[in-house]
Amino acid sequence: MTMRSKLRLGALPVIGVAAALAPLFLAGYRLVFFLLMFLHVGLAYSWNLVSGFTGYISFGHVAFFGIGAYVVGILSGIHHWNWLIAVPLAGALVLVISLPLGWLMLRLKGPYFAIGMLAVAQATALVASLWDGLTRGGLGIFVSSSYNVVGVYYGLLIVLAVVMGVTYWVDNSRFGLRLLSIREDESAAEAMGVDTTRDKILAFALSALFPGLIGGLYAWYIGYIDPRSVFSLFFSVNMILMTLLGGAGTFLGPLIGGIAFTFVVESLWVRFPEYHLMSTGLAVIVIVMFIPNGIIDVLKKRGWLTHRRRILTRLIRSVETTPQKKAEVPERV
Amino acid sequence: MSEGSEPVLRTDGLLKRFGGVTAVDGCGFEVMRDSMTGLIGPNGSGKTTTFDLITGFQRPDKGTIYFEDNRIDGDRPYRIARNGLGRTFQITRVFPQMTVLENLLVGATGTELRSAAARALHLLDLVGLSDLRDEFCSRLSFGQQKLVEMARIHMRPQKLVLLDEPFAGVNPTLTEKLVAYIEKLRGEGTTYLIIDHEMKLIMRICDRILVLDQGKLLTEGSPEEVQTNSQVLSSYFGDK
Repeated sequence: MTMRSKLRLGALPVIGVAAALAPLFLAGYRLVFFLLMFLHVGLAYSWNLVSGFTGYISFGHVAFFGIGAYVVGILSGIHHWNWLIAVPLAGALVLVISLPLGWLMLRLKGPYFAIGMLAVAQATALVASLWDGLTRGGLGIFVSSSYNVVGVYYGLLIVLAVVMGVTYWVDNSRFGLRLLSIREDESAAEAMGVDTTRDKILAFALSALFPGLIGGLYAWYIGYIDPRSVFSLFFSVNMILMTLLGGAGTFLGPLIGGIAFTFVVESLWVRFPEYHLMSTGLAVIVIVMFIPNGIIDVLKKRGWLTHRRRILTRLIRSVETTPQKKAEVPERV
Repeated sequence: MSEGSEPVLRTDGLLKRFGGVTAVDGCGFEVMRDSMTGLIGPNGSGKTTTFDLITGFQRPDKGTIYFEDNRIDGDRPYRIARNGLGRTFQITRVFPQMTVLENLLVGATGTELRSAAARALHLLDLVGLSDLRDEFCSRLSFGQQKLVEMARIHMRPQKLVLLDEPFAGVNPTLTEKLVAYIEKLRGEGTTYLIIDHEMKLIMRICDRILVLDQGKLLTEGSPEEVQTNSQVLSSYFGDK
């Protein structure tokens, strides 16, 4: 392992410890800023798992976020369950819902899938609005009367660490290669023996789980939810925007995109409260026109980052340095 | 290498309609094990549709397909591929934003990773692309992409490979390289069914030729028999 690699790997625990200790030193808006950053980056990572790796662009991931928020809203806000139990249940329910939904929706391709997922999000919001008996409809739910920043901060930090770990695994695994092959050419991937349906559904479920958890934490943090706030299309758009900004289908892309997005949005929100939404639209245009493959791609083209899957590099090195392993190549080829 | 005496692939009464157009019309043929078989016919005669039916990309309206002793019509393409029936496409379909090595490893889906990596290095050496293994396929020339596709399809042990116009748009030097590569793998036990319009080449490398016309099997036989068949000449050049 090179010194550079050691430094890079060593930086992760340092950043992790710093993030874990931050609530001891930060308070008020400064802590909320990082909480929102974790929320944004976590959502970007979630969306990236299915849309970035397989190319199935979802405009409806807010549905999972909203369902997660409502599960915590109903369990903790109405039935007074402990939020530490309600949040994992929110994730579990979303995971269960995502499997048949993925099986159904992933039959659609390209723009049809994108629009189909948008319809799923709208339909879910409608159910939340109309099912008064369960969700209290348009009145919304008061989830919590206390200010829960520190607990939610740690909750989001854990979810973020897990989703980053899952993405790192996907990016360095054969599963990840299969997902990328689906993005590149699904028919050719299937002709290579890739069970595209199974892999897409698995990616979709993983991608739905984390917004469910994050939505649950968000509901506990924000204290009051209604269909308009937690099913807002902006959550979906922001997931897409952050991932495209950083680089879809990569490990570092959502991190870079999410951090940059949080800085820009929070700066504009504070200084130009009436114009900040316009900036989101402008950002989309700028990204699509000038850096369609994200910041990661720019860094790679400039030679500041290399395209390397650590697991493959290690594997090939070991195969090359072990001559007897060549015997494993079947005689027929 | 001479062809075996038993069929590795058997189709019977294949029918495929797209709206009012009958692309494959009651087509039935056999491909013998260890053979190199050519599938020829004028444009629109149903060759690629036949490939799509065999590999599961289209479901036949009627008819049966047996691969070895298993009936495969209507099976999912990935299952057929995993059973050792591979294919390439008319237009080269590498994964452009993945490296050469990553492309090959996808081709070995379902096999053990370490032996897949060893096999990939071996195949890259065989087609002369070892130095380009970490290059994105989008940066390769058309010919190099053809070689990647050819190596990728052989990442798993194949019993039968369907090649859809492997020599189209390829310069003569690379064509000979591809032929040598195919013949080497054939000598090691892979059967080939090849569509191409390079008649001289097909007649040279194949033991047996199937001729399709308007979705029907017009005739079959050795290259010599097919070249002198009046029906074949008529379907290609018209009646005079």
